[in-house]
Amino acid sequence: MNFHNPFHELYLGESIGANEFVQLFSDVMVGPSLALFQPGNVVLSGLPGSGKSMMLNLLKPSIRRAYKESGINFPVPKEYSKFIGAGINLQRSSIADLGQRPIRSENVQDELSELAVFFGDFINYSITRDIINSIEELHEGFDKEIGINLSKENKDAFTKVLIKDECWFGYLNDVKDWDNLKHKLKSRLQEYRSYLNYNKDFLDSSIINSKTSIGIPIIVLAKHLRECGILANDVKLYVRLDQYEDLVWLNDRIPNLGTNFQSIIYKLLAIRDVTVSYKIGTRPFAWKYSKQEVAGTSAVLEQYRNYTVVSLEHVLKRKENSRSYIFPKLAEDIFKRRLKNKMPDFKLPKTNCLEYFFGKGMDARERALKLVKKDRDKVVKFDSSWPASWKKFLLSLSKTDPFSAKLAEAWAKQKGKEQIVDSTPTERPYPWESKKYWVKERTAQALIQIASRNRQQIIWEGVDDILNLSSGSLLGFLSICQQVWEAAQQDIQYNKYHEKVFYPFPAPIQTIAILEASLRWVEDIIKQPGGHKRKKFVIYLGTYFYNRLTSDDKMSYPGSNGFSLPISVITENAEIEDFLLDACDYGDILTFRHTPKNKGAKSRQKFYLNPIFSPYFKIPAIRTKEPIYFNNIEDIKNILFDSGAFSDFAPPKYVIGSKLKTNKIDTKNNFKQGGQYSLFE
Amino acid sequence: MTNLQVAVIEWSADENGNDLIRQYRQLNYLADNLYNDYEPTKYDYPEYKFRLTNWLDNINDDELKKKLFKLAAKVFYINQEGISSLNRTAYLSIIKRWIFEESNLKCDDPNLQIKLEEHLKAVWYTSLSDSMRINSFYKVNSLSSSHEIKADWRSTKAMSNSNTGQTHRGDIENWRNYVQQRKVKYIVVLEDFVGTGKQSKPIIKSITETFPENRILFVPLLICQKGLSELKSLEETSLNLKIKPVIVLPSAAFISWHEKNEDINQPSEIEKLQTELIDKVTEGLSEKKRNKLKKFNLGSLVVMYTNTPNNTSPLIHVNTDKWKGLFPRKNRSDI
Repeated sequence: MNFHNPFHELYLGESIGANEFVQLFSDVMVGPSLALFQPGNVVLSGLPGSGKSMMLNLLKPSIRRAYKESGINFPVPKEYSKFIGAGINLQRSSIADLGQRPIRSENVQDELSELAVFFGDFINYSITRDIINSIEELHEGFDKEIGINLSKENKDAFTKVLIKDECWFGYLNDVKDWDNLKHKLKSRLQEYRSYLNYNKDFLDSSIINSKTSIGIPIIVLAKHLRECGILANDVKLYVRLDQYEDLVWLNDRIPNLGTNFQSIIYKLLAIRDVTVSYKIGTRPFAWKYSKQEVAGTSAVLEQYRNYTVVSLEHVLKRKENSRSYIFPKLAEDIFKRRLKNKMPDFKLPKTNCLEYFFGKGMDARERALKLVKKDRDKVVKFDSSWPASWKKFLLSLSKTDPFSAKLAEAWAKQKGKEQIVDSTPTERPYPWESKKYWVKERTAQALIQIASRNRQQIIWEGVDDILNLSSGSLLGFLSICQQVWEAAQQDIQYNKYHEKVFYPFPAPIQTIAILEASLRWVEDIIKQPGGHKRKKFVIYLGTYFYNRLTSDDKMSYPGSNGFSLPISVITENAEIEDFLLDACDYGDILTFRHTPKNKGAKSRQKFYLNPIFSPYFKIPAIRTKEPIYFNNIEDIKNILFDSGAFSDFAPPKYVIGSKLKTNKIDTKNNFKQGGQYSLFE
Repeated sequence: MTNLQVAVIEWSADENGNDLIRQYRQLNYLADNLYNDYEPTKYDYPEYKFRLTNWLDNINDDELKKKLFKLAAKVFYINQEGISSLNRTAYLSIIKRWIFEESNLKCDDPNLQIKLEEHLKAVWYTSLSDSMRINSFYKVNSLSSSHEIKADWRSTKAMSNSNTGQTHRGDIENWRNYVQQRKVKYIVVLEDFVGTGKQSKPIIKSITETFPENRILFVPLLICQKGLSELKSLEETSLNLKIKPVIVLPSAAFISWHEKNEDINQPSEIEKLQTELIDKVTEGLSEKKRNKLKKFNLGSLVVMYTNTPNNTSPLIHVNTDKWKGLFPRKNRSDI
């Protein structure tokens, strides 16, 4: 049977062509990321799969053209669409090859500094060339819309003044015309590549003697493009620098190489020239962990002054105000586009596409009935002091409504409500049922306890579950969809009696798919740098939460799937702060500002596991009620040590107060330096 | 019929239940990428995933089903690629080295390669039984042969013993003449799988006796420790025989293997499962067949793409009206 999985490929940003992009791109994110299409440098930060590359792709001329040709509106609002986009993908441009072959110096420090200059030169030429190519690509069809006039006169005048500028150090002197200019730019880049690939013995001296200063040729280029009339004065130039994190990883190959290259990028941002803006795509940790020292100076970059950050995680995170929560809309839109593209013959419903495939989801009562089909009396745990009448009532209630029976048990065990056991209610709604918020806060915990007491797996199904589990993570959402289709396919193979897939997907298919996706996410923690330690921490924490939630018969602490710490406690220990923030940056835990229940109490930060781990640990994916309160550094320290996440750190000595925070902890170096105090003594 | 997904979800609620989801994923992968070349079920039987569901449905008890499911992941499956690798290793690492040792060549001999080639020409590669595909051995090792006869000794012996139960002198002479005419110095006998060694021992013994002048090497691609011990006794008494297996099966390939959390003084969990289910598995079989199964069952977990050895746990390979096998075995007598 032909049953194609539309989510087979999780990542599309890098791999799809312009025409497919137009079909698959969701414009829901454009609004919150408008800074990308406005003047000013922007750092677009997001985890893998959060849609960075898709957003940056909107700056590409080929994408713009594809929109026009397909008749679909360009998603960028008209008032912001007068721009020329160009750029470089730091991973694909072979720029990382700089460094795999020395160019001149024998002294390592000089070598790194000089390589950084070559790196800047390579970027200058790549971008210059790409801007010219973009203008060529857009001038037909967009000349009026954007404001491009690529007449022969303009081209000639432009080439003439451009090549004379001092910024090129004479390299373009022999350029005759526009085409010749393009050729010259291309050949310089090719020269670099040939040398780096060992196809030439020397780098041409004309290159070595004409290294340009980062960013300057681009400003010059922009100025002349406007002055010569090729671009109208109000046309903006936006330059993409995607996969910035690759520079950080260069340090693993040659110490400090990446850092030197990064400082060149900072210099680019520090120029703050209004004619060109840079839009940098990066993973959060890569941007955070650099000192952001501008090459050649002791200045550091400043957020808001030199650049603004658009964090896709932040945009997609669920806020207190649910109206600003755009994730469900985005998920629905992306889902629909994928299906339309991959299953063109399938007749999709106009609205609520997610609901059509995943269903509304059962309510708690129904779930409890599904969870325990037999032995329903196990749902409730009696207190020895309870009178027989109350026990009998609970037993009988558990047969027909195990969910309510579990709530009743907790109700009777809670302080101040004990008297219920002496006056068994006779009419519905029972007292516990009519307390809407009391029930709402305890629903997930009650179901977990019912499942655990009957040794049953929690049911995961329905739109709400899927959206809660992926909570702001597009990749999480897509991987759940991928697994659901996969499981449906398996189901057909195991049970040959049916050949057809039914929608919404049956609950068992969704449950196994979600368990599978969760398992993979937990396993994949180790794939990221530092992941081994974080996985230990996550596993310990998940198990800890599960035990707390299931052993709390009174259901007094339904928020035990997260913990909260005073901010002052977090900042008092750089190492712990780094670890927690690191885990947030890699998406293993989520953090939110926590307004404590007592007024005047210290400000706090709360932490939850990424909800996609929840099925693995059988804990709720939603965050209700107060999390576990940790008040001292010892509380979290114990977890870090007991989980084994910190055991590797134990022997080395760290220097307290030496501002470890700005640098990633480097166990080896700290060991070498032999610090003064042990952090955990 | 068991809905495997539903069952796995339920089982996964147990402690360490996530392992079962992992296993389910693993079996799905193996079903698509490995188990699909199992020859006995390639055409007439449903594919692995369906067989797995049927296999679990042999029993009703959920706990036993779960154990059976766990057992499915312990099968040590060797696909065509695996057998080719074993054939290559047999030739390159075992046979060549043995020839080098037997021929008394020296490492520093400048003409070593040429001389070794000469000796290799005097080797006759044969198979112990028809389950060893000697042609594949020739192919994967790029061997060309002047031997149009690639003896399968089990059949040869059976033919010679027919009717009288006595080996015909004439047959033996024919073989000896053949070996002499072809200037065979070395006889290599290959076999894909040796379990108890009870079947192969008399055959190997008669080869060593038939060709006392020749050097004989027996190379089982896979052998159980029990079979190896049985055959080693033969090696001690037959001066012209060497036995060099490619792989001696590790204890993890047997049902007696204990998991980390199991008490090693008690039978392992799968061993207990076998004991519990063996009557059900062999239900309806003749007394003779039951005894045979019992005699050969070493509780190995090996399945080869060509067939499942009869030393493998009957839970896996027995296929009757009452018990649907996971990897049904094709018996010689059925063919």
